[in-house]
Amino acid sequence: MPEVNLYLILAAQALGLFNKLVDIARSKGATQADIDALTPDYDARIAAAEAAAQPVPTDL
Amino acid sequence: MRSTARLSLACLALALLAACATTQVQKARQVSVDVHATLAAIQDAENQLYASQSVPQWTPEKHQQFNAALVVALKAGRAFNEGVRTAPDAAAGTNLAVVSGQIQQLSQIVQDTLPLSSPVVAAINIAKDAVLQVLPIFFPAPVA
Repeated sequence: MPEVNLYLILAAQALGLFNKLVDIARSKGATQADIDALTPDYDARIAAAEAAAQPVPTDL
Repeated sequence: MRSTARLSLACLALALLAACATTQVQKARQVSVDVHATLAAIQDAENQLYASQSVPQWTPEKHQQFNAALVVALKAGRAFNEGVRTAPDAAAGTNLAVVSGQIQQLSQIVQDTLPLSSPVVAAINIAKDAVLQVLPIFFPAPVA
């Protein structure tokens, strides 16, 4: 019985530590909303770059 | 008794795996935001340079050539971000490698035309550093 308790205690401690680390990483990093917001900006930038990559029309 | 201990260990292993996966996703998100920021900085700097006409050697042809390469980089950046939005996988690394290659190409286009002090060159150098730092996350060194 004592060895089972030891495993459970170790597991609980490890879980607590890792959850804390994950929370810290989440609070510092980018969120899903940040990632979602990049797509429309990429679309606009690609459209602008494609337009700029077109040859400049020359006057005849 | 033994089975309870094994169950505890299995739960612990699962929890550790979940935690590692979460931090990997978090890393990928941060990388995606950084890649977008560097590409946006390059584009904005080049647009300002071209509009200002402060460097005569930066001709409309150079502007076109630069933007043609930038389109490929931006599309790879968008594909990388889409991968991060859904589920980061091996394709994410491939897209990041395309971004890295295109940044190198942009660097060659500006070489011998723009001074090192140009904001465009600075933005490209920052992008190079940023991508080189994050590439190992998606292409880990092989274990000897």
